[in-house]
This record gives sequence, structure tokens and C-alpha cells, in this order.
Amino acid sequence: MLSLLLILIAACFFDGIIIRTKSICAGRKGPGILQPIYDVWRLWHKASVYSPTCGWVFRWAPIVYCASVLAAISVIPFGQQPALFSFDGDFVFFAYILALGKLFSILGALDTGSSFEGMGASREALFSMLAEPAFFLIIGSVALLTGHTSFHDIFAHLHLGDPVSYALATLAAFILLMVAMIENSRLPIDDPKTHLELTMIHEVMILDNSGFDLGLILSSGYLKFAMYTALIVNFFVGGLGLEWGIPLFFSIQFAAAVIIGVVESFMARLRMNHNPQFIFALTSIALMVIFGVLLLSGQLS
Amino acid sequence: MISVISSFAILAIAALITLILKNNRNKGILAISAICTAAVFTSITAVLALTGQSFQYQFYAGAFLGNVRLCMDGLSAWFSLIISLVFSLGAFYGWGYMQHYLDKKNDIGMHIFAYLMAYLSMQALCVLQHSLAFLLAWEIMALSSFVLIIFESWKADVIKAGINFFIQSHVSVVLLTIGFLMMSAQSGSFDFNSFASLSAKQANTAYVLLFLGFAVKAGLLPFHTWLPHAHPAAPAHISGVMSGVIIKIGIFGMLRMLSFAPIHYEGVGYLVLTLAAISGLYGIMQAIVQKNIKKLLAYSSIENIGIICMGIGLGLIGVGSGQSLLTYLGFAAALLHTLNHALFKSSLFFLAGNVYHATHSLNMEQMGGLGKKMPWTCLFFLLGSVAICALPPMNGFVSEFMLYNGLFRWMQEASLTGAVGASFAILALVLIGGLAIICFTKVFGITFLGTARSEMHEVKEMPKIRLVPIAISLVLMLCIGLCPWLFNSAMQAALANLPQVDSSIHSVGQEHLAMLSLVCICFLSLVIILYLLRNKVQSKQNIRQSETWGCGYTAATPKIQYTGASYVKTYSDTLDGLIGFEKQSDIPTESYPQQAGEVRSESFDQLEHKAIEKPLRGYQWLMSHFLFLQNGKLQFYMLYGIIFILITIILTFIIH
Repeated sequence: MLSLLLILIAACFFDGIIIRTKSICAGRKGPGILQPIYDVWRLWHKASVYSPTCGWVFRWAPIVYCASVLAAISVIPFGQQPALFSFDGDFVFFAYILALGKLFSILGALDTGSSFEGMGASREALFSMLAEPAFFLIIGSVALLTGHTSFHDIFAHLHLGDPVSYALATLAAFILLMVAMIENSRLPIDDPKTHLELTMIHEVMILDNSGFDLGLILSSGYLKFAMYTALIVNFFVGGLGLEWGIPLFFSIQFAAAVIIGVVESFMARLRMNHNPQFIFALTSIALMVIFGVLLLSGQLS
Repeated sequence: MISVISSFAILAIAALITLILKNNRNKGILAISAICTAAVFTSITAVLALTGQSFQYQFYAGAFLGNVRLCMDGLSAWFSLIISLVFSLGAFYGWGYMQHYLDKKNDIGMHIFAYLMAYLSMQALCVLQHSLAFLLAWEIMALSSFVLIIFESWKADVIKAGINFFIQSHVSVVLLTIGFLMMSAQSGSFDFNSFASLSAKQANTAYVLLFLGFAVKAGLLPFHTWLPHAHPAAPAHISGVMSGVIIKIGIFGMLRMLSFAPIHYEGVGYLVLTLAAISGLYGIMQAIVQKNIKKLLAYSSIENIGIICMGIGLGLIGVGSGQSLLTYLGFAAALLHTLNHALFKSSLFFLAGNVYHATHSLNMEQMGGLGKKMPWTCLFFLLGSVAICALPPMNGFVSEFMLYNGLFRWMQEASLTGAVGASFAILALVLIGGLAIICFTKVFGITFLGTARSEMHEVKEMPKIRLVPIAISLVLMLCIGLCPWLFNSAMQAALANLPQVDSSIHSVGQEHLAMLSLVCICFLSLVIILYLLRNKVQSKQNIRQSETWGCGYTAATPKIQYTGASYVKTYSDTLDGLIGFEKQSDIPTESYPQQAGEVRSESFDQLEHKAIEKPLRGYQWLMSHFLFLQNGKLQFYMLYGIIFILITIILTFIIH
């Protein structure tokens, strides 16, 4: 329950910090930290416009998408604090319920009959499929390290000891951050601020969403960022008590948002046909982490 | 057991009467009522068997077969229930599908007869414990499914696909015959029980042959090539039944075979797991690039057979290494996914049949926007797609969830080879899951969403008889997804028939499955809450309609939409080489072309091309050199006969 609350709070600030970082890097003052939340609030009160081509799938898509993200958050624990739901294999549920949301957002895009949205849907389907193995391997490696198979048990028993395990945890954190960037369609896979539909992925899929639906999609995106970062926090929070854990939670959330902002300020988007290679590289790093864990647990000697 | 035998009698008598009756409608009604009665009769025994009772019956079947033993144990009961369910749903759907033919003069008696015989033989396969009788039933099943496939026998490619199926299923029969004969030669009896006394060494070769024989029927790689031809050729209810249960009988055979002599479980487990993972990946990779809906579904069946066999492989590894948790999770995942796949794949094939009759095409590139004209078919197809992509809260997720749990457990408890093996198995399963999403968003999105890509006349929703059977299986699917613990308990008796399954583990899993169903229910209620919230917000707003945003371009036509091929273009570029494409282009070269050009690209199965067609062509080339022998002159043929006899006599002398 605590983790759900913390993630909801972090999500309110996350995108604002990214935008602010980018503004500062570009030498501008930038909007307030809570601007994205104001935007969502305003969108929720705006009327929607629907295309006559769209059927019920398009209308249900944002709802299922948002609900899937919330359901995924409900299985994330916070250190020793259990999640709302916890069972063996809950990380499989986590990944698959997110995939359900993705399936609906892809179908919603295809329902508009627009060629641009089809283009975005096609890319989203491929890239997020390619990113999935890296996530499973990372979770697999911590499951191997701790001998448990649910988020809560894994993170409650994860006590990093020697420097090697810290290195592995950092690698894992890097991969999770990258997975979060891919899942949220940010740089270096996709540039959310591009103004050319041909080069967009996520943004082009939601071109026809407006009003309440768009608000849901945007807020789900913020939630997703905070959710993945909460996973990263769990790698390090371990046995810390709440008085240290909560500040650590917010500082890691803040650091992640700043890193994303800096990366987006100084990096260019990859060429579309280089994206699969980039994502495959992530999977191979994840494989390296697994072998590192095998080394640590003494099975490779 | 009496009820099972009487159901056989009912089916056999009904099948004979259908041959005599004249009116097509009467035949259909007779067949449906016979199947329903038989299904109820066998299900009574099967459900009792699932509660832990075991039923036996033995009778003397003449000098050739000897004593034939029938036994309904948990494993038979599990498969028998799946078969009864899919066959009865298929019969009702088929009644709707065949309406068009019922009042016509052409006789569909043979089709109905074959349907009844297929059902009868498959029920018999589940309970027969006698290898010769088993082979007999297997042959009846192969022949009757051949007749079912070639229903539209006036079409050339239907006959071609039928003959392909016919040959491949007989390859399976040959392998099984040799395997069973070797087994019974060693043990001195045809009864399955006697095989249990064999040692691993005695049974090795026979095991390999039996496994290959069952793998052909199940469509495991590289024996999958009959599936993508046979499914599009058959009528929809037959494809549904075939993919739903006929290929599962191969899985049943593999599981039944495990109770014979002990084998080197761990090694076999690794082998099965590798083959299964490759099957799964290859199946779904091919499925994505298909244009024909039924062909796509056929390739996806290969993928699902791969997932089921991954469960079996994991279970075997658990048996070999003595880890009871792996054994339990692997076999349970395999059994549950068998049921799940039977449900969603048969529904999807039935729905493809609805689309076919509405549009008279199976090529999804010509479709689009069917969702508005066929709302129920569209909704059902979406739910089926969610289930087949193994996404919660539908049933497919539960079996994959068990398999994932097993794989992660394996990774933790095993040696180095185990950990590496588990990592790759997980990788394969994750990729299969992701690719399935691409595949089914493509087929659903291109067929049902957007606007029509070609002229579609009078597309309308199908009558209820073609929707209700699908709705029934969807309700069941949702039940499995939301109450998985119920089905986990139901499987216990079936699991007890597999080697070394420790049933005490079941109670540990229940708690996690209950939690899973709770979170799924929460998710569904969250969806409903959000929906109501939006309705409330939007009720005060002025909701407008406006054309889809065309990025400033206002004259958009349906042709501008993304097609199926373009949807998977990035994917097929990434996997260039693994998937074969045959391209033909006829582009005019002159500066001012007078006629329109044309570009065609068709995907083909690389494996079929390289492993079957090429060697066959080589063989044909080799054999063409001996054509002179067949010159049509009687004298020569008699000469060959004399030479043959002489050689036989001379050889006999030399050998002695």
C-alpha cells in the first residue's frame, strides 16, 4: 500500500522534473514542476473528439491501458513493505498486464484507420517486444541471487554485500532505466518532442485521442516512469528502515528524472532501423548480469 | 465404464444411419444429437475419473487382438473431456456453417459420417490400453480427418493439402506401428501395462519412434508442414476441431507414453524442451507474416504446441533431477495449456469461418472495418486474441504463468546447465509472448479495425448458432482466467497418472493462484470504474465527431491505411533471412507507362522448402534416371518378376 502511495506521489513530479531539466540545459527557465499534472487535469475537463472511423475498441483502449498500469503498480513492493498483492511469479503478471495495456493501445491506434498511427503501432509492437527479454532476465538474475520468485520476497531478501553485487545492481538499474525509456517511448528510441509524424512512435499512436482519454494516457505514462524507477529503488533500499528508505526513494526518483532530462538534452534519437540492435544489446547486457550472478553464487567455479 | 461403451455404440449406430438417410438436415440433426448424448455419457465417467476413481473394462476381441483393456484414468478423462467439449461445440457451429449446403442436392453424408467417426475414434484413443487397438483407432482417426479436410474436394489446392495431410499422418502411423510392435515384441504382450516392466535399454529405440510418431501428429518442428496447408483447406468447424483437439491427441500420446518403461528423463527433457522452444519461436515467427487468417492461426497452433511441449520438457527434467516442484509445474502447465489452446484456438477458427462467410475471403489485406458490421464476431475475436497472447485476465496467462514459475524455479535450484538452460527457455518464452502480440494485433487490427480496404458487399453479422458456441467457450476461458485454482484442483487426477508427480505441492500453488485471480478481478473492476468515471465526466461535455487526423491531408482514402504487410515490415526486415519471401514484380519501365504495374510478395516456409521440398526434388531427379524401367511392356515386367525370384532363391542359398 505504501509503495502505491509513494509511486503516485512521485508520478506527479516525474515528468515535470524531466521538462525542467531539459529547459535548464537549453538555457531556458521552463515551466513549473507541476505543469504536466495541470495539463492532465485540464484535459480531464475537456470534451473529446472521436473520429467516425473509430469503434468501441478505440474508446476502451485508454481505459484498459491506464488500468493495466495501475494493476502493474499494485504488485510492486517497497523494501520490506509488502505490495498490495504479492504471490510467486507476480513479476510475470507485472510484465503481462503491461503487455495487455500495450495491446489495447496498439489496437486503439489501428482503429483510427490512419496510416501514421499504424506506423506508430507497428514500431511500438516490435520495440516493446524486443525490450521484454531484458526485463525478464534481470528479474531472473535477482531471483537466482535471492532464491525467491515474487517481487516482495526478492527485494526483502536482497542484501547487497560485496562490490561485485553493487556493480551488478548498477548494471541492472541501468537496464531497467533503459527499459523504462523504451516502454515510455523516450530517447534514444523515440523523441517525444519531435514534430514529424513519420519519426514518432508513441506520440503518433495517440494523435486522435483527446480530452479525458488523452489525460488518461498521459497520466499512465507518468505512472509508468515512477513505477520503473520504484523497481530500481527496490534494488538498493534492501533492509533500510522507512526513515531512510523514503528519502532514498525520492532522491532516486529525482536522480532518474534528471538523468533522463540530461540524456534527452544532449543525445539525438537513434535511426529507426538501428533501434532493434540497441535493444538487443540491452538483452545481452542482461545476460551478462545473469552470468555475473552465477559467478557470485559459486555455480560457475 | 458402461456409459463410455454405450456412447461408442451410439456414435457407431448414428454414423451408420447417416449413410442410409436421404435428407441432409435429418442427418445433421441426428449427428448433433448423437454427439451430444455421447459427450454427456462419456463426460459422466470422465468427471468421476477426475475425482479420483478409475474405471476398467476388459473384453475379448477375437483371435487377432486378444484381450482388449479399456481404462478411464485421470489423464484419459482430462483429454476425453476436452475432446467432447470441442467436438460438441464444433458440431453446433458446423450446423450453422453448413446451412448453405444442407438444402442443396450434394450429399454431405460422408462429411457427417467422418465427423462422427473422428469423434468416436478419438474417444477410443483416450481409453484404449491395447497397442494394436490403439493403432486401429489412430488409423480411423487419420482417415476420417482426411475425409473431413477434403470437404471442398472440387478445389485443387484442397485436394493437394488433403493428400499432404494423408501422407504425413501415415508417416506417423508407420512410426507408431513399428514402435508399438517393438515394444510388444520385447514385453510379449500388447497391453500398455506390460510395457511398464521393460527396462530403459530395451525400450529406447521404440521410444524414439513413438515420440516421432506423436510429434508428427502434434505438429512439432520439423514435422509441422501439414498444418499450414490442411487448416486453410478444411471448413472452419473442421479446422477448429483439428487444431483444438486432433493435434492434441499427439500430446496425449506423448504423455501416455511416459507411463511406459522408464527412460533417461533428464536428457529427454532437455531434448523436448529445445525442440519445443524452437517450435514455438518458429511457429509464431512464420505466423506473423501470413496474409491468410487461417494459415496464420495454423502457424500459431505450432507455437502453442511448442509451449505445451516446453511444459512436458520441464516436467521431464524435474523427474530426472528429482525436483518435484518442476515436475508438478511443468506437467500442470502442459495439461492446462492443452485445455486452454483447445478452447481459444477452436473459437478463433470458428470466428475465421464467420469472417470467411461474410467476406468470401480469408486474405486479411482486403479487409478492414469488419468490427462495425460484425460486432459480436469482433468482440469474440478480440477476447480470443487476448487469451492466445497469454495476457491476463484470460486463460492463456494461467498456463504460461505456471510454466514461467517452473522455469524460474529451475533456474534457481539447478546446476550450471540448468541455470543456462532455464535462462534460454525463459528468453524463448518471453519472445514467443511478445511476437504473439505482434501477430494478433496484426490479424485483429487489420481485419476488424479501420475501414474496408476493398469493396465489401453486404457484410453482416452471422446468425446466433455461429456465435453461441464461441460464447460458451469464451465464458469457460474467462472462468479459467479468473478461477485458476478450480482447474488446478481438477487436474490432480490427471497429473497423478504422470511419472513422479507429488500431489502435495498442489496446495502450495493454490494460494498463489487465488492471489492471481484476486488481482485479475481488481484489474477488471478498475477498468469498469474508469469506464463509469469517463461516462460521468463526458455526460456533461459536448462530444463531437470529426475525421481522423490526417496530418493536414484531408482526402484520405481507405487505401492510405497501414496494411498487414506494412504493419510487420520492420519486423520482417529485422528477421530477414529467417523468413523466406518470394517476390514478383512487374513494374513498367517506360517513362510514361500505359498500364499499371504490379508487385507481389508471398512468404514461404523456409524449413519446408529446405527440409522437404528440396530433398524431394533431388529424389525425383534421382528416380527419373530409372524411368526406362517402367516402359509399359508386359514382357519386361514379367522379366523383372523372374529376376526378382531368381535373386531371392540365389540369396537364400548364399546365406545358408
